[in-house]
Amino acid sequence: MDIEELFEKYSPMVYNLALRLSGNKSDAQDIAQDAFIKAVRGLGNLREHSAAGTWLYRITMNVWKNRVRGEKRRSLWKTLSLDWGSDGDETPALQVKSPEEPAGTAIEKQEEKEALEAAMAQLNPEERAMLILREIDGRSYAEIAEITEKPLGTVKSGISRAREALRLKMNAVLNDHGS
Amino acid sequence: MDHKTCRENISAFLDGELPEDECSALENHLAVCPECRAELKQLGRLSAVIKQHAMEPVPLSLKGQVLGRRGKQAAYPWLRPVLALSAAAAGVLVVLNLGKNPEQTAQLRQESFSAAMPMHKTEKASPPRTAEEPAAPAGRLYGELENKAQAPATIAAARGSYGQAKFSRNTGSISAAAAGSGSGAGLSSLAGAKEKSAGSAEALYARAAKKRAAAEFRGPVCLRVYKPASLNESDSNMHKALLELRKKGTRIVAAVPGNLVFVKNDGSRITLTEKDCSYGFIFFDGKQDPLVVTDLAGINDKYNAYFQSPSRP
Repeated sequence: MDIEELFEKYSPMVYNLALRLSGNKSDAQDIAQDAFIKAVRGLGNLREHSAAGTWLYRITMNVWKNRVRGEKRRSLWKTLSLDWGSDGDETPALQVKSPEEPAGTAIEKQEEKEALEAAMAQLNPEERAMLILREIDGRSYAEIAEITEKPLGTVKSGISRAREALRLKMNAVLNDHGS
Repeated sequence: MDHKTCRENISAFLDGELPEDECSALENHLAVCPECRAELKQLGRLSAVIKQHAMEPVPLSLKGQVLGRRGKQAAYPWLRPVLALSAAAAGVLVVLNLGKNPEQTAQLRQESFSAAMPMHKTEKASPPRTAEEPAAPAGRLYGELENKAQAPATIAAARGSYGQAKFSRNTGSISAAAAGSGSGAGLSSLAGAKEKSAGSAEALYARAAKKRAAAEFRGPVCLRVYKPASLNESDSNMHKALLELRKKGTRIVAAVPGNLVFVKNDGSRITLTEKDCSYGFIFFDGKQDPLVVTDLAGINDKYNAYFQSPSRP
């Protein structure tokens, strides 16, 4: 597997993992870039291509941890909010609506998204990371434990806590839009 | 299982990470506890929201930043000029020592100065190895949770369509979430983004989308292929078939119509497109070709006939 294949396959998850860990797009891009560069250097040591994802996500986690240690933040778990501002010379991605979609549904989806982001911002970074590794990438608890270098029990309780926190914060949205 | 323990384990239950005995105990509790059933339903709904909204598109500049450095990267970048210089010096010495034999000198000069050329990663990547086991697509709860009829049906509906990966995982999970399966997020939003070089960037992402469009499955797996027009749509025939299969303890993986790739145990691949199956179930045991079932009547018999077929190698 070369770097281009690695990037094509894993960049969405690497970037979003970095985003949920760092809480802002600028840092996420730096972390993702560093993670891929480290991956390139270590590609020759990768024995099983089937484990490339787990390996790359672990690199991403470690890059983030090193940044946090290096920057000497006051609190590791301070509340972070996603920076929705412009990315410089890139126009922020637009939400493209299906032409058949009624306006009410689009509004509901926007409310869901906003509620989700507000609730996610309240979680600690590693719980956010565990949650998206599980929900988006379908990783097992054992794989998440390997990626985050946490015990299995910590992964199970972390995901459970994260979901419970989101469920409570988004109760109104989940009930209104699910009924 | 008591109420407190159920609540502590409901998340792991949703993920299929509970041992069988605890799973059964939790299901027994859910059958008699409306509060836990409601919580399970909400967690299922939350899962669908996360899958739909949690992925942000990759910035256009990231690929350039990563791949642009590819040709310049080496494990030890400081070593390259040193080696090049050494090879050049060696070449000069060889040429000087073998000056009496012009032919040999010419050959050696060619070899030496070839060695002194900057090192590039020219070797092709090794043939693609077995792809990482794909993750089960994150099934969205297509209106099943709207059925408030019976407790067991709700439990099965909330968990089953989220059902994971005891069978297989697909590489399309990210695309299913990021592309939003109709939500418009991810790649389609990237296509809508303003780009400096519209033609090349669009081609880039179209190619990436095409690569990520196929979801891969390994056997044994029972796939439910269904794409409702809206989140509130509920198909009674589909729901009934789902319940029948779940009563047998079958784990169902939800998928949207599209390129579904089935990888047999011998490594061969069969791709079913939306034309092959846009609504129904697909049974696949890894040995036979996948079976598409669009007539849902007697689904259990069809399931048994396929998975217990004597023709299985």
